[in-house]
Amino acid sequence: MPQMTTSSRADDLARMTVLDAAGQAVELGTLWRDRTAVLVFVRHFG
Amino acid sequence: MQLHHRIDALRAAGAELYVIGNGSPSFIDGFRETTGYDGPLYTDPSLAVYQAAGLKRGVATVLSPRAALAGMSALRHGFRQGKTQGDAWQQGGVVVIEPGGDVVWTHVSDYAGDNAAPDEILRQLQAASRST
Repeated sequence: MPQMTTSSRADDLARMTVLDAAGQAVELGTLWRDRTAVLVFVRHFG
Repeated sequence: MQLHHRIDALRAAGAELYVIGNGSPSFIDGFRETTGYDGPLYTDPSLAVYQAAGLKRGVATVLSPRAALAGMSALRHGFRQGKTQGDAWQQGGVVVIEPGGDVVWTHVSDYAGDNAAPDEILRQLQAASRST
């Protein structure tokens, strides 16, 4: 079932990084700096 | 209708969709080929972000035999979206974050085919944009 978290802040996430296709680190917080970000986490890759 | 098919509607509501996977960066091109998705795409090989977002459970179950059986059951029941996307779009979850860092929506997928409803997210985004 869908679950709503009680935590409503993304401060921890904002400081974390993900990698782009070139292996470059991108700070997550930049994704929602200017507009709302819808992050879709997929289970698999490839 | 899955979320990534509503990218135009999401952008119209003032949001951008980002797909985050969990393999090596070298898998990103393969994901694009498999799915035809050409929007922003990143990977979190350590699963640290999945864990911080509270999605680790949804991802870890993929690795268990029980989850494999559930996945097969989901396929039989028609959750599979089509030959070219299928498993690649299985969600671990969706997190919507507004500028400023407020998390305004979270959906943790418990099983294959348990995807966030795009209409629900769009309604929420549109309501938010009207109120500002």
